[in-house]
Amino acid sequence: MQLPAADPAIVSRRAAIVGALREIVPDGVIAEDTALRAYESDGLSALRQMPLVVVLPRTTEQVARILSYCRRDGVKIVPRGAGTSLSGGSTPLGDAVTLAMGRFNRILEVDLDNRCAVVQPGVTNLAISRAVESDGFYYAPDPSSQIACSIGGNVAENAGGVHCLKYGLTANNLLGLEMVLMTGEVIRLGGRHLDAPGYDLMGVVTGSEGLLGVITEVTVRLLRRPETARAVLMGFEDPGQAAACVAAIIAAGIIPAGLEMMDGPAIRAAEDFVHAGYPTEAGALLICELDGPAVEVDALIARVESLARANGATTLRTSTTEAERLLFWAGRKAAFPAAGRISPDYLCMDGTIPRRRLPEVLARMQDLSRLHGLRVANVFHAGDGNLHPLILFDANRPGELERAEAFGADILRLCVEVGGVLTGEHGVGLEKRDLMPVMFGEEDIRQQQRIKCAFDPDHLLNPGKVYPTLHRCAELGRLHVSGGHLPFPDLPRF
Amino acid sequence: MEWLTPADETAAAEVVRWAAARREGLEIRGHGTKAAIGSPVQAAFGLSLAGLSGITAYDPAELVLTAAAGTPLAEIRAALSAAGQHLPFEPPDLSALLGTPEEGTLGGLVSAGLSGARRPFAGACRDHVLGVRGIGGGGEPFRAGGQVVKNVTGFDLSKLLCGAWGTLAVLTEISLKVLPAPETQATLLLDGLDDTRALSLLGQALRSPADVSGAAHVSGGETALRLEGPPESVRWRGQGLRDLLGLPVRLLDDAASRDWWQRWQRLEPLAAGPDFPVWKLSLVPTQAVAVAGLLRQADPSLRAVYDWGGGLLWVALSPTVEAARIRQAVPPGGGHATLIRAPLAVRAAGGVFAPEAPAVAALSRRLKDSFDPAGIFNPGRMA
Ligand SMILES: Cc1cc2nc3c(=O)[nH]c(=O)nc-3n(C[C@H](O)[C@H](O)[C@H](O)COP(=O)(O)OP(=O)(O)OC[C@H]3O[C@@H](n4cnc5c(N)ncnc54)[C@H](O)[C@@H]3O)c2cc1C
Ligand SMILES: Cc1cc2nc3c(=O)[nH]c(=O)nc-3n(C[C@H](O)[C@H](O)[C@H](O)COP(=O)(O)OP(=O)(O)OC[C@H]3O[C@@H](n4cnc5c(N)ncnc54)[C@H](O)[C@@H]3O)c2cc1C
Repeated sequence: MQLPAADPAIVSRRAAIVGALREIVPDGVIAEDTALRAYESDGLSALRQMPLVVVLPRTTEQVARILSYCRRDGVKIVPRGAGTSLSGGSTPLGDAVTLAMGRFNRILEVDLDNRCAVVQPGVTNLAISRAVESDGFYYAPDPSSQIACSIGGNVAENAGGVHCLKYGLTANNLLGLEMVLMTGEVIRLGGRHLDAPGYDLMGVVTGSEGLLGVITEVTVRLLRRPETARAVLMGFEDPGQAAACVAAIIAAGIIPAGLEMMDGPAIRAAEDFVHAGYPTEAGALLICELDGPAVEVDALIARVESLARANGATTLRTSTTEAERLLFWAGRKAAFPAAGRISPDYLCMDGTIPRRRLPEVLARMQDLSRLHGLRVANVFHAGDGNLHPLILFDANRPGELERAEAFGADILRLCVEVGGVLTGEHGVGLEKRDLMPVMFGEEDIRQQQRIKCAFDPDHLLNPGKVYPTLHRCAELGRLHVSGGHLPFPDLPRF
Repeated sequence: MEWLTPADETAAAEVVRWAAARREGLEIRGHGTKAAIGSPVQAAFGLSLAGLSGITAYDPAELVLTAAAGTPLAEIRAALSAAGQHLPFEPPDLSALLGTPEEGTLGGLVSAGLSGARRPFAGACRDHVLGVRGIGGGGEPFRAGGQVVKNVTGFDLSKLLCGAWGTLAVLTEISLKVLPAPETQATLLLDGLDDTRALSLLGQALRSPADVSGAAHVSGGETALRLEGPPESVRWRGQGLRDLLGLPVRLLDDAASRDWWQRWQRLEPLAAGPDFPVWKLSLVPTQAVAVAGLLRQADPSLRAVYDWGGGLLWVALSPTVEAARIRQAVPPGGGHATLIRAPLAVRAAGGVFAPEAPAVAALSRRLKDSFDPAGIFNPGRMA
């Protein structure tokens, strides 16, 4: 993976750019190498590069002035939240200002009567739930990085979590945004009410990976915490049986709060690490969580247990206490660090597939594992078909990182080949940028870029991310059509 | 107007190419059941998608259904209910209100982006559009999104096209996320509550753990709370709600409850009565009663129904009340009003959709120009 080359013309203007930013945010510009180092990568730590400069605005007005300045002077911007992106979304560029939103860290208002909260984008995902938990509410999307990641970053990545089969991704839990456009204009989309009068701009901005504007305020929907939650732990000899069990649960009309799968290598790595009592001889493990009133949870648990038996479960345990439920989850939640214990480095992939293709995809992943000479462990949001293969490698061995990247790309190609997509929740960023043509044709990508042209025609926001090449907007705007008569006399008319 | 009804995507693309080359406006439609909403389209030619019909893929266990844009909704509903599934966003049925024939198409539903009573709890139409195929403003076919329930690859173009009323692109195929239909339902009905009391009770219920999936009030009529799920759960939560409300309630069992909400989805309490203009207001729930109060000052004969626990207010009121007066009732930044039913002359005068803030309007205009540079799709529709 190559980082985009820095434009020497911009780099040579660095002192002037730093000066201009200091004028806007006197106490919030980082230009010294040692301090800049903290920003040299995001969660995709294999990619590192020093930013041109970092600016830490405190107000929406400062953000607007920064964007106006950058537009006038043709300076690129990389918006940044907490820097936990796993796809290189907030990886700095050597010729771009990193606009870090960390100082936007206040919860502005909790409005339980309307079941929402208004927060600044630098507030962490978990802080929102913490602020309302004593009232019995929470914010539903729960990425595993929730202690650290920011709500602004969640919006930009349309982040998910283990509960999104039932409760949706970030997009489904947003009510409003305030954002600054590249023109320096501040706009409000949505609010405490639902749905926009015109185009669904909030829907488009969500998941746009910092390419369309800078989010300065977020209004999220709060949910009442379910009365109870219990989990069922199921072990199977092979992943095919586990996949059949997942399909049977959904076919029975049950949408669990969480439905997670791990394969043999992931089970063993997690068990060695946290001793959750997982069956280490199993080929696949399912954790199925049900939430709601106790009567409902008990009734559904009984049905899930019988479906598990019918599909050949060799282990079947149901949590009877909160401590036990958390223990079942402990292994799953520790899957990434567990992979880190059995391997010096790992790459976390993120494709989605139609669930019925799972056994075949896992088998072919084993073939690829042999081909690339690297091990892989799988954790899987089974309910919605979102795979997280963890590719194990050692970056200190020459060539292994490149092999791991090639293996990852092959897995994502496989996801697309079976009818799936390149990313279910981590975003395209730099990591999957060059694979976009695997999933989309030339025309498909051009249509997406029409959105970019309306927001940021000069391509100054997060350049080099998501799209391998950006068409010039003037070129996209030209119509290439010919013909002057209806060329098909047989077309039915009425 | 001359209507063209291509039988496949290639022929539809040809129509668009032809129109783009001549800069000839096209009215886009499914079955035309929503033609009465929005500003009238000004075009000499029409492109009907009714010829592109049929479900192309549906595997209930994957929770995904893909169908051509002209597929009648009836066909989709039948396929879903045969598998015990449904469209969670519960689209409203405006046929009684608009006086149109019953059925519409999938493309029309998605382009109108309308959602019904379950919207605040299960999400909107746009939350269930996973991917589309379409034709761009130069006649170029394209694909957006995917056919799996979880996808964040690239910009979410499908969301932009949902609710765009056919002004950005022509949809030829749509993939939807579908869900198992709840096993049973029940509704608690309360009578004789004034708006303030009713909305405050609905709010209380929505803040409780009862997991309500419908919260409605007819001004001067019934107040309803719906519960859905496995039978034992519905019973339990129903008891909890009764205790919470502490008022006499009538309990509608599964069949009666379904019937009540079906009538609700047809907006029967509003459709009955004089043929006045109908407005739909999206509001901050706790502000809805005050907004209705201001509108009642403008027209004491106002008919009002509240949905979404107050987040949605439907009103029918005298044509003498001007659009500006209605919009002034909505607190700044606190929602928006759309004119849903009105005589052609009123709609042609503009003001159907709430005006956007200047910067948002300019951005929307740039999007329209970017997707439809020749300005051929539904000219005048969203004006
Ligand atoms: C251990 C670990 C576990 C994870 N688990 C999950 C998971 O379960 N589910 C999941 O979805 N993700 C997960 N992630 C990925 C990551 O946490 C999410 O993508 C998260 O949303 C990123 O938030 P952030 O604040 O760190 O954003 P950053 O990494 O700083 O930025 C991410 C993107 O958002 C843009 N951006 C950030 N803030 C703004 C803003 N205010 N305005 C405009 N653009 C902005 C950036 O330009 C960048 O493109 C995980 C990451 C780690 C390290
Ligand atoms: C009895 C009844 C029951 C219903 N039940 C359900 C139900 O259970 N589930 C459900 O989902 N809905 C239901 N509905 C909702 C309703 O039918 C939809 O809103 C309807 O599908 C609109 O379609 P149409 O083809 O008539 O739209 P039209 O009026 O033709 O079009 C609406 C708008 O979309 C544009 N448009 C239409 N097609 C396209 C296209 N292909 N590409 C781009 N733009 C386009 C038009 O230009 C117009 O602006 C029900 C309706 C009725 C009458």
